Amino acid sequence: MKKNYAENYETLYTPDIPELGTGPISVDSYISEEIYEKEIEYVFRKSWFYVCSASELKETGSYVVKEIPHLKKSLILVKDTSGDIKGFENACKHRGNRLIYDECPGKKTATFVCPFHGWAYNLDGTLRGIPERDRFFDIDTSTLSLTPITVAVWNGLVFYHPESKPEKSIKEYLGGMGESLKRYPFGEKVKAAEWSVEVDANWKVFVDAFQEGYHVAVVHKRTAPKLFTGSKRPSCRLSNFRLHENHRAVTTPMNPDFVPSETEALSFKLAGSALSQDGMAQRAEDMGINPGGEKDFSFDINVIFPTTFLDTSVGWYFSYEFWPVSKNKTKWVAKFYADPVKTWSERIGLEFTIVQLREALFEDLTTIEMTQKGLESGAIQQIVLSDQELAIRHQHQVLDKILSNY
Amino acid sequence: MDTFDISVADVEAFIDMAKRMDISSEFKRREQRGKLSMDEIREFYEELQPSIEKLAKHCDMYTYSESIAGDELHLINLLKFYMELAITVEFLREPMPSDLFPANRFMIADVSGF
Repeated sequence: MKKNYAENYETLYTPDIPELGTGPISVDSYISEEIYEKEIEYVFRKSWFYVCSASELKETGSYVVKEIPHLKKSLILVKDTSGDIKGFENACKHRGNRLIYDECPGKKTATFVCPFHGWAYNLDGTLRGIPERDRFFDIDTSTLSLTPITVAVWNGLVFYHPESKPEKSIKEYLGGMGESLKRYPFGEKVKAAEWSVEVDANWKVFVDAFQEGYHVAVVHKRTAPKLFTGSKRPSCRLSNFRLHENHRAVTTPMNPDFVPSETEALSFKLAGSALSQDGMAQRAEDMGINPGGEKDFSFDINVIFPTTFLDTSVGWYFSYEFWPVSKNKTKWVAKFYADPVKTWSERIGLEFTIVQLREALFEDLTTIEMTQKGLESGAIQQIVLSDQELAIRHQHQVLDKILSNY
Repeated sequence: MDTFDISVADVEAFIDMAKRMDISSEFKRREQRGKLSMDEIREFYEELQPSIEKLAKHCDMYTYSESIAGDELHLINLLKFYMELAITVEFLREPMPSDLFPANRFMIADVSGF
């Protein structure tokens, strides 16, 4: 599978993986209520999901609240006094009220206090106090700790599994994908931006759009007109597709003739190690990314089945989470993490990249709902995929294989 | 003489400019961008652009910390706002492209500590 885009722009990847086939994909997958319900039951209740970076829970009492719409759950992830990252259901053991009402991207506390009657919990989830406790009958406070959830920290990343005893540990679940990412310093990067949105589209329409580069020349002609495409390479062709059982990775090369705009160039100069091109090839190799050795490397797209995206470059990575809300509604969360900055000029330099990435995501979002509308209209019964869209084909094949067992 | 020297009067003028705008978060900076015409954005960009590197280096006199406040914070927010507008001038060519996903549905979290 190792073919270098820089040397062979015309390479086809699908013929190397004949088991993927080349046929069309049924539109039913995006619009059927029955298929959606099976996906929730047999995929979304049985998979590991990235929820945040351990760097977001650095200090004792740091916490993140996460809504899981398809399970109607709200989760609290917190660093407790022993230094462990723990997870609990965001529900008071008194009458079930949410302890924290808003989904928050990162705050700090010493105690969780229910806003309804004031029941208080320690950071490890144990009950700390009940107002007017002497008015309750026969209660055993040792049974009233917050309901724990299954959380695992792997290489600086925090994952959640809906089951109390998952069939596979996170390491087993990641398999070869974990091996390929184990040297990447996720824990050293710091969150610099977070965006979210609820979009009227099936989760797969959304996921599909972020694992191919075919759309880049058209959709991103405003925000990135020269970053990935140029006269020598009019299309953004991804390279070095890697399949790791249910997961997959692919490399996004840059336009070798890329010339930054005036402020873009200044931002690279100011931002320090996060955007520095110095020693890029060696740094990438040390981190285990760009395994095909692309000369003009931009970032790797790493998709952990079913919906975790970790797109890794040398000084930064971004994560995408896709949380199904219904058959045709998905909540999406995008976060940008970068090497920690040391000075204000570095931080100011990085701001350009943050804004540029955010605006590019706006361009992506525009197509998502319009695609769903087209699929729901009945105008087409199947979609056809190019060689460059083989990651989408793989995703569907993995899903079909799992669902065919039920 | 240090290449990055910039006069106190210049810095104060830019701080005054920042105080007149509500640009204290990424969300507000984007919102503010949408309220400006392309001519206003271009004017702001052209006024700040020649000094932007000097001003950014000037900010390195301040300790990098979440607790920064007052005039120092105003200046940093102004420079971040410049980056917001530079995208518009150098790439988008219009303040808020009208054919894109509705901006009011997009949530921008306030990321502290960075």
